[in-house]
Amino acid sequence: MTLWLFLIIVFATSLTAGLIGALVGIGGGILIVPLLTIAFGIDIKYAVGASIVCTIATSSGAAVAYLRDHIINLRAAMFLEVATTIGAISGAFLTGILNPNFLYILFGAVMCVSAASQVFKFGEELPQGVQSDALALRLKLPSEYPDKKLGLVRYNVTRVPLGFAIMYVAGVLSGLLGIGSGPFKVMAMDSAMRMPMKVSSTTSNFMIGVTAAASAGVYLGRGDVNPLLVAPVAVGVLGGALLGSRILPNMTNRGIRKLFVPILLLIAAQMILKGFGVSFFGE
Amino acid sequence: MANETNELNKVQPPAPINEQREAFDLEMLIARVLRVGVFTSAGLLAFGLILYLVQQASQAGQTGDWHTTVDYVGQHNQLYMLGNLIPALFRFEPLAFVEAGVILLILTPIMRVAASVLLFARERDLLYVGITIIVLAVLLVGWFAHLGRIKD
Repeated sequence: MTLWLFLIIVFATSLTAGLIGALVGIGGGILIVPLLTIAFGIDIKYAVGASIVCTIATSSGAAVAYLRDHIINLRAAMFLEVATTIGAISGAFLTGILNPNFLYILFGAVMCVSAASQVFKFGEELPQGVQSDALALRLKLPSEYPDKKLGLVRYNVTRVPLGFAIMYVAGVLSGLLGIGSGPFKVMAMDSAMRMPMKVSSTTSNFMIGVTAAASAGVYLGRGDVNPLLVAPVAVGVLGGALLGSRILPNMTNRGIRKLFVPILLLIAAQMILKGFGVSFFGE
Repeated sequence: MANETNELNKVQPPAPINEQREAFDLEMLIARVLRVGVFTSAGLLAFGLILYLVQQASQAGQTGDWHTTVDYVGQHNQLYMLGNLIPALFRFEPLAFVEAGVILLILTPIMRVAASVLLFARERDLLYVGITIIVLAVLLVGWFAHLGRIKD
């Protein structure tokens, strides 16, 4: 295989990762890391470095369109980002205290349960009967977003403390295990705070870039960012994310959820396998 | 469904139109700044990669297989510090373009948070100016903590 062919395969996979990541609000590391490590035998540290850059590219590539289309809930993003970033820092302190394998299995299982409960919401286009709680009103979290099919959708936000707590855990996990926290962010906003699926995935998408940027410096400084890998990954992911951000407004909330659940299960499976010592995930 | 919507409207009266317009324009501004950053970054990355491939193709004896090349670049990649990054760009060193692209890309989310501070300040939403400054501060603390770790 020539260098050119290798770069083209990496580019094509990155395009797909960016596309999916932009739609469901996760970084595309789930596709990039196994491709580089399992399929191509690349050193895991370069794969993780590429995955961090991939997350930022997904986030920034799609955020342009999502901000312009006013789908992102910027207040929710900033308020919850406090929990995630502080979580990430405390996660770094917990390294060595908690057993990572146990955590991988525990949170893999949590994601499976969450995926199962999502199935019951497959028919639901918008959350029904949500009453904003006092904290949500105080924080001005209830908002609206323009939906191509439904018109201007006003939505309420509930169970803010629970959402905040899940976001904190998401941050701890990303600080402790070095995994992306995208799925937990989507679950916090969708399942706990009952925000519409599009708002949850685009707001998560906006946030994952900020969380990843917090730790990107260390990977760059440590020399884990291999330019020959990162260049095709970043360009491909940016292209895919731009494409995804054009597609999302034309999808239904139902459609996005149906895409999110299998991906959630895939990530859960990776985490549980890693907990049992089958590694293709990083570190 | 219609009842549902009415109920929601009662719970939450719509914000005055002016306030909404202003917020929307600022979001557009953030989107525009972000777009310039993202496209410049993509351009630098793509240019660096193509430049590398062209230079490699013109060098005789550099025809090892791709895996060797990727490992070689990873192991011998010297991180340009800011001072020598710009001269390296003028010397058309391919990996300097890639590094500039990566740094710009990493900065885009941080720029987004910084721009959001301005957005909330324009809306006179002091609560969110505070919240966003906390996020920005934690990000910067994180960076400096990392920089400290890199030294040792």
